Amino acid sequence: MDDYSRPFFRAIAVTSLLVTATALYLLKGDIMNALEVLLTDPLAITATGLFRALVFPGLLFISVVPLMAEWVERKFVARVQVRVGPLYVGGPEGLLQPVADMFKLLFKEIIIPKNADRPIFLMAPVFAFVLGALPTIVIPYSPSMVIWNYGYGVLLFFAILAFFPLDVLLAAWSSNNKYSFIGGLRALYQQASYEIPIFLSALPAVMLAGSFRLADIAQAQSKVWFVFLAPVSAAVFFVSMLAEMERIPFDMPEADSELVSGWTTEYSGMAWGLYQFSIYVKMLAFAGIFVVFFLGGWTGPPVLPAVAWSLVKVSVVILVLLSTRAFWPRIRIDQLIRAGWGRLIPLAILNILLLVLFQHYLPGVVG
Amino acid sequence: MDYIVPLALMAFSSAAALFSLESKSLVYGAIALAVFFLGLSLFFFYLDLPYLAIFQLAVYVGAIVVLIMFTVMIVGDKQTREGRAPLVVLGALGFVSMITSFAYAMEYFGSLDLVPSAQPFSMASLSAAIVQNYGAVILVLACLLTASAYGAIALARKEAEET
Repeated sequence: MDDYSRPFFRAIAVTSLLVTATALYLLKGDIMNALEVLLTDPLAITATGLFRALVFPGLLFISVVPLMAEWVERKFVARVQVRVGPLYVGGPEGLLQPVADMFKLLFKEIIIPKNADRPIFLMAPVFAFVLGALPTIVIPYSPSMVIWNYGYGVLLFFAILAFFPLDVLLAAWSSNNKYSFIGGLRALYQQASYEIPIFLSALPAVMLAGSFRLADIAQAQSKVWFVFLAPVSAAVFFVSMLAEMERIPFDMPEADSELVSGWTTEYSGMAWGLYQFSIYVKMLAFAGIFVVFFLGGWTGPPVLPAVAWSLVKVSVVILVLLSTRAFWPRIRIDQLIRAGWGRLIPLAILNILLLVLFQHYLPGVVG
Repeated sequence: MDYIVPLALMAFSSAAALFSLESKSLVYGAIALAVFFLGLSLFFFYLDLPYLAIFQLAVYVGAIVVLIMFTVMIVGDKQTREGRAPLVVLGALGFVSMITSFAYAMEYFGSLDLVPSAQPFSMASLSAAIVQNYGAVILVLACLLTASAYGAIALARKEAEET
């Protein structure tokens, strides 16, 4: 280990210990409360904050959904391409294949290249997972099912989004491999360029609802979904979302035919597994925010409970996101950057201007 | 004990800032800079200025540190230098004096009998008072500070060229 990496690791260890201790100290009331509820009235546990943070829509939910999404993706893409997909592991249709994959990755060795920067190389996947999971704390699945009903939730979501290029760049650089580095640079170009249209195309939802709180934005769509009022914004948001997630029409950062595996080339074992996991967690966060911005969140006919409506919509969006992999070929990086700066940003700005005009001259129709 | 949070945040941010200056590796320096900006943003959260805090995160960590890191990686992380003890000592001294003056200032403000003392004195109320009443003054001070920083850099460069 290099001489300057030891204090770094010590600082990380001390900081995480301090943060955990502080969190436990601050949450001691909540923990005791949850325990008391569990002992007296087990069904009421869903109303406690600890349940929301640890089970739904918190830790357990964002751990299970990626596994399911991976299975659905493999099955779905296989069917589109007239294959069968996973078949043997765990009962019908290879349902436990993702769990088997996870165990395989857990027992595989994490190989660290000799000239890699060890601390950054090992920390980057962990941060990727944390960064993927963080945005989900502000996404509401029903008026009460939200971990942090924050008044600036929209801004916080996009602020956390801005951290991703940093993590990718660090992972790529620390691998000390030219394929990783080229992949990292491409990811940086792509994510930094597409942060602007994604933010601009989210603004119409904020303007129509008149609030930065995600729960208010979902509630404002109880009559008509914003996808009908601002369809262009929804389209721009969806395309930018695909580019931010590096899904297949835009997967230049890990283009297998050119760059081996892009910025994850040197990763193996569970370090690679964490990166895969973080991609699906990020997909859940993006699907959740798309549903809240444009598809009405939990609102819907009262045949289903609010949470169920949210889950149905999120599942549909995730399926559409997964399906692009089966249908589209990859485009070139220069085409992508040109499309981002030359088409999507002007479109998003034009849409905002139109919306301002409509809101001014036709206040009864829009907003 | 009311000021344990700002004191902890100050210690955290100062340590990160010092490390970003003194790190032997440029990439680690850039990471420490990101941590420093994170500490600053947490400080803004504590002062009940969430809008500022979130933009501090989005712009500084999301854009500025990424650009710095990009430059460092393109140029190369090979440039190393000797550790400079005097600067570390100066930084530590500055930190200690900052903490002490902060503690004394808080004592002083706490002892003041502010006129409409319906709510007790807190850091958040202080930040609100500063932002609402002295915004223009702070802007002028910020410009002055930037100008003096540029001046300092210019002076330092000249000296380096002469020697």
